[in-house]
Amino acid sequence: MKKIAILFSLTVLMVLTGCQDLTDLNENPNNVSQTHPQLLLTNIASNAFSVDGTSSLYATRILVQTDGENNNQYYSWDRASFDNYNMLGEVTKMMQEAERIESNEYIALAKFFRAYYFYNLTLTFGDVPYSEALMGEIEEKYLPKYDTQKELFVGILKELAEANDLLEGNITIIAGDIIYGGETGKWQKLVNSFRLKVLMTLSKKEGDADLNIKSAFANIFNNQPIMESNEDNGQLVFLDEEGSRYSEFNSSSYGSGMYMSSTFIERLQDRQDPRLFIYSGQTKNAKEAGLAIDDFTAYEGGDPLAPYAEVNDKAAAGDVSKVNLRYTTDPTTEPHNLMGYWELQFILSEASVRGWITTNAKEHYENGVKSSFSFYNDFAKNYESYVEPADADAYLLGTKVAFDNALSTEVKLELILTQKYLTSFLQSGWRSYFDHLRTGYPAFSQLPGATPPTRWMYPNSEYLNNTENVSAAIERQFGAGNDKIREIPWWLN
Amino acid sequence: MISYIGYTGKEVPVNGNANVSIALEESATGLNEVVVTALGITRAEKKIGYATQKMDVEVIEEINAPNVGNLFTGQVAGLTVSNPTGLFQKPSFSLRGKSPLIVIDGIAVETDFYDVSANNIANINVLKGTTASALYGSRGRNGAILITTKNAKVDGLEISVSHNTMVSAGFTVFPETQSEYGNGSNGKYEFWDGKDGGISDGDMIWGPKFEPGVMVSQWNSPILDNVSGETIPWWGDVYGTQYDDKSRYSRVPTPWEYHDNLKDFMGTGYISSTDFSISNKSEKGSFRLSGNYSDQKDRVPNSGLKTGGLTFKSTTKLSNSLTLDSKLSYNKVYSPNYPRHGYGPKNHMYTILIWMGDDVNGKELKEHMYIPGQEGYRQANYNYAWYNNVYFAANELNQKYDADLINAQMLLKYDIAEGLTLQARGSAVMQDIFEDRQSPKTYLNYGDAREGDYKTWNSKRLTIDYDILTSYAKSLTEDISFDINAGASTFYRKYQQEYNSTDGLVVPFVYSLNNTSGNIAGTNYYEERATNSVYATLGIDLYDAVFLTAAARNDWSSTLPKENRSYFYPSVSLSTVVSNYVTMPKALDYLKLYGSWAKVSSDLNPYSISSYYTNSGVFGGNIKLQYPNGLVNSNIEPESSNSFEIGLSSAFLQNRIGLDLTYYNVVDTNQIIDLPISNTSGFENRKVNGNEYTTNGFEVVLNAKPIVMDDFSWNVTANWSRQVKKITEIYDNNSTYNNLKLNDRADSYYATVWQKSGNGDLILGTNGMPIRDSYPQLLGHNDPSWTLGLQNSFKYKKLTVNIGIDGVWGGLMRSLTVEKMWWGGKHPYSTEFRDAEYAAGQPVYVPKGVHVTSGELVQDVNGEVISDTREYAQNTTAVSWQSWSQQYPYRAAVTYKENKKFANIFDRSFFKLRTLSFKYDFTELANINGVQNLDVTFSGYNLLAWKKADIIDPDFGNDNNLQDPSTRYLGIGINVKF
Repeated sequence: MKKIAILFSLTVLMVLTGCQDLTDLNENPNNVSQTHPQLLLTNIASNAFSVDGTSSLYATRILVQTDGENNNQYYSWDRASFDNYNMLGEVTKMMQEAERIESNEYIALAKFFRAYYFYNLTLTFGDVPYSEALMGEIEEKYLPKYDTQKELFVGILKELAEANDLLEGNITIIAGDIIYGGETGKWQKLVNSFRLKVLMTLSKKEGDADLNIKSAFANIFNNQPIMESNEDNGQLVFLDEEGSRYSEFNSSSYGSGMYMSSTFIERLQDRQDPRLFIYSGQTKNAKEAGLAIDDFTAYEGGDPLAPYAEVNDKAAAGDVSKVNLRYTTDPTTEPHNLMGYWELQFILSEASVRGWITTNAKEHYENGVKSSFSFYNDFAKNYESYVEPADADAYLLGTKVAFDNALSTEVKLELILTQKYLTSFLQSGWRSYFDHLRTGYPAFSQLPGATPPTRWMYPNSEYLNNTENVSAAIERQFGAGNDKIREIPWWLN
Repeated sequence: MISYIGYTGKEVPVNGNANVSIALEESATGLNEVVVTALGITRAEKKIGYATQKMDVEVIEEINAPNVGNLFTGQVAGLTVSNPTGLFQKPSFSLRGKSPLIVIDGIAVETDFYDVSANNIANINVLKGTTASALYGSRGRNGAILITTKNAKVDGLEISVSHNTMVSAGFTVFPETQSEYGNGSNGKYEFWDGKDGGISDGDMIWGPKFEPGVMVSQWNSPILDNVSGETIPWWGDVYGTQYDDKSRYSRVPTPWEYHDNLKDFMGTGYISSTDFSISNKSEKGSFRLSGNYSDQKDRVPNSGLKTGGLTFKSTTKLSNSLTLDSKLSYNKVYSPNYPRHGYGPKNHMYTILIWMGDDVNGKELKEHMYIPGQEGYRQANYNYAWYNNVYFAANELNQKYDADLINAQMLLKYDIAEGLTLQARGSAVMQDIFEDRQSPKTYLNYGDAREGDYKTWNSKRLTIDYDILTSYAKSLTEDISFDINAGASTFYRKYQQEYNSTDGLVVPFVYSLNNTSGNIAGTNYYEERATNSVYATLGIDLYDAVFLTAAARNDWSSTLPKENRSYFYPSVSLSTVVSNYVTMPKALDYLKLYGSWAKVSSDLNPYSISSYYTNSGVFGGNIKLQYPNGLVNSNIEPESSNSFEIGLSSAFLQNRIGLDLTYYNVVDTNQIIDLPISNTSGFENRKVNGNEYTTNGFEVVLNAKPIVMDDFSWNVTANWSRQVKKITEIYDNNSTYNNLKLNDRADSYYATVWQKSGNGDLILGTNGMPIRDSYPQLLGHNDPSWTLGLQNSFKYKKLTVNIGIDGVWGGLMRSLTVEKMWWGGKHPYSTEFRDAEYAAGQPVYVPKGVHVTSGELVQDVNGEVISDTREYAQNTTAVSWQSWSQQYPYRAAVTYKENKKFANIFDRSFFKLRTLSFKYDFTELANINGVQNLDVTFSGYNLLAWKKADIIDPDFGNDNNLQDPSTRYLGIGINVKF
């Protein structure tokens, strides 16, 4: 009996000691709930500065697809996603962590990334939530209202100005910075260059008194530090390490059904542009015939307007070039530019032509071309010899390239935007498409009666989860139920 | 003659006595059959006030299915089992639409059933409602499958040995493909580099027709040197070799022929199991030692699964009042390599079925896995953009799974006094798993490095359960008695995992972290949780006719906020044997009515009430952190379900017919949901308590013995069930929850469809192609309308024949296989217009549909039509047949109703002859001294299927990730007892 009593007492004791402190048990040993903003910066920068896919290359008549109908190529897209808000959520956390440790440089960068993502969002859709957005956690705001596109642009420019102010004279080394190695001054140059880009996007709003674009542009150009060379490029340099390799390295989609568009190839051929050899591979037939890399006739594209089965036939006949293999076989290929020095120079050239600033448009234009050549000279392994400084000089004398300040405004704009376009091969996302919508340059071939879509429909998730606000935004901009891809948003009016 | 249901009839001579007192003996089967319920408490069947159903374990012993769980299919009304077809793809269970708890010998376990030996199972009882499971706390809120393992049954020593081997015998469902055309596009193909460097050699099976005399340069064509005229045998591309010079070398065209690659690839599989047991029973106690070893060889080359275990169970009477039950078992589940499934280049079906033209000579893929002279460095293949050489992928990539499971359990039971017992129990389950993946150089998996890779995962799980239970039973009068159980328990679970990965390998074939060329990446994870509980039950029996049971439980969970961590589960059930006090028609032997009500709750996963940053990788040595997309809620409350159930149990015609009916209603309230919010708030969802779901279900179990003769008997059990779950309240009175609208079925199937005119005609664009509707449409529901199981047992003298048939009716199922077959060009119907188009040199296929000639459709954000001014004209434009096939049946949902030929959404309905066994008892015939029992069984598993869906096996559960062909097994088993 005694033994039994002992045995039972022991068991009961075991059960009782088994009752643990339940609160302690639920403390997560794996992850933190507070952190230094540098760890968020790396994540945000690697997202914002990575290659933004190939969709824009189909829409801008640079690529064609032959194994399926590509909605971007045939301008038959419908909805786009609000995924950028997920990254903006990360930016919001970086802002909060930066405010917690009172670090102005991370606050400034958070403002820059907010501006960057909101800029892309509003160009994609029109009105989007801004003033009430991203307050889910701190203010329990789950259904933000939509702000007008104009309010967005005002806000974007204001935040960029604030970022500039915070960076002014700031010499703290930014940890976790994979873009500029922590150099605050370079970030400040990028912020100001990006301000110029945003202002140029609003070129159709030159007369808007609230925005005062022209003087704002001149003011920044004359008084603030901006990018001065390729050294200042807003670019991500890839490394041959897990997680740091070039975004398109080993990408299978380049291996089938993806070809160069004839219109893009022809533009490069017409200008005897050696960047053709860097962007494109030779056609199968040219390769079999043993043509040299710098033989312009070795390249050919597929018609972006033809039914894709027809282009496929041409490809099968060996007459269509694929994307240069270096984009998928080299783990570091080339840096990707959120904004490069050449882009700034083309913007300045355009501003000069528009009379926003009083500089030499030709000089900016030629700087843009030269710095693009220089970029490929630095990074396009085995193709350096085609893009030496002398090649750029010769290229700038070409009939369809040479710039003369005496030319008409429209001709000059066409030259500038065409050169800007020719630098957008797997660089800078949808920039060229939006430039085309704004200026019409360069012209994209179209089927009779077709026009390029001017926006995307709002995502279905907003229809379901933020019904009233999205309805109000649609009605306000385009009329009830008119969430359509060819409605004209404010910036294009 | 006096007889009473549940008792053996007895003839008593009356001899004129006025009062005769007769003691009937309880019959072995029948109503006083006890049922194992929650916490291992046994109760007489008549006292149970909720639905339970026993499984036929005979079938489980006789048939050697890939997983014991496969054999649960169709056995229990309300239990639906999905049976995936690949090796090591475990079945999944849904009990009344929810995932049930698995309990083995009274202890809740996490098991995939690979570590359970079929031959050790003594009985399986399924507790369907929440009432029965209120005593398991939140783990048992969805009902439970209670498994009791075997104990020594007969006095003295008994030894048994059994063996069963099943061999694959063809396929029950085999995906049909077209066999007329090979790789390529628009009828053309030529191999050069396998990524469109030749003619359409990067992708697609829309190439040339297999016809005598057609010669094409292929991946295995010899190389011709134009200069020397020499030919060099070669397999694969020429990348990085001297031959990568098209101006000098070419591939010599070889015959373009069909190969039956999938059938050639799938070899013979088998499942072989051997079991033994030694048991002894005496007055002092009993023990049983059992062991099992099972070996499965898959039909996919180089893959198999071995499982084995040893179990020792004993009962020792320490004294007259004290009993000790103990159990110690060890199980191993080991696979040196098992096939990769899912939609991607790791899966053999992805390659062979969908994306490899049958022009490719599979035999040569097998014989030449590497390019000549590049063993270990570069695979030989027909494609270098998207796919692996399927034999290279099967043989050169190996992934190991090695799990050890130890289960120790002890139960001490003390009979303190008449009717009063006290018991204490402790159990620990430890699982240790090592997994690795060895990827050779150039093995292709999208997004992964191609320089070879080695990854390891080590995980450990420990669960500990302790409980004490005291029971007291007393009869107050002859007609009134009660019993009380009261107890407390604690449950603790710990899980940890470590993961390491190389970044490329230096030397091929050396799979070690030391062989990495870049940095090693590693992560680890640790998680703990605990639940403390107290509970009690009270049972009252009145006049042997009315039985009332009430139970209550309170849990305290570590995963919930402190203020909400305590939650209470009440339940009450009542059963009454009407036939005991109301005179019934003669044909009705027995009638029990019952009803029950219960409320159960559940908690969260650990660490879900605060937000934490998670590591999302590294860039250039800088760690990247990201914040979760969902907002947590530190005030979250436990969710709860109220269930109500009524039923009857009856027997007719001297027990020849038994009929059980159950109706249940479950209302899930205060659900913990991730409520979608506008992601412009910075978050995609937030955790809230909300939504209400109402489930109504009906279950019928009919048991009949149509023939009962001395030499021949036939017993049949039919299970039928139906349940519908609807969303009956949406959080904050919102009008929608994701796609669901109020009162929609919770399993509503919304999908992207093609635009239709008001008359339902397909709208085509100016290019003749269909246009996607921007609003998802409701097509039907996912779950079946009803499910059926039919178990037949025939006995003729020494022969027993068991036949198991089951199936489901209704419900929709999307087929990824069919969609991708259309896109890639493997679909059997995809051949239709190819020849005509290639001959005409232009499109000939004119799709049926209309063009919008004028007007437009304006819809609001809910998809409601604001205005529709569209006018239509019939389409007359011919489109490329290949383009059409790659669009219409692939890029949006097409139901069978919309178009039979191009459908990619199917009716789920199917019926299967799942099990068949012939068992013959040879004991007397053999008459071997010392052999108490000898029987031989011929059996079959997954024998025949009738289905509505094309190409796929709906029994798989879904077709979102491709399916291995569904294998038929035939086998033989022998069972000897000494």
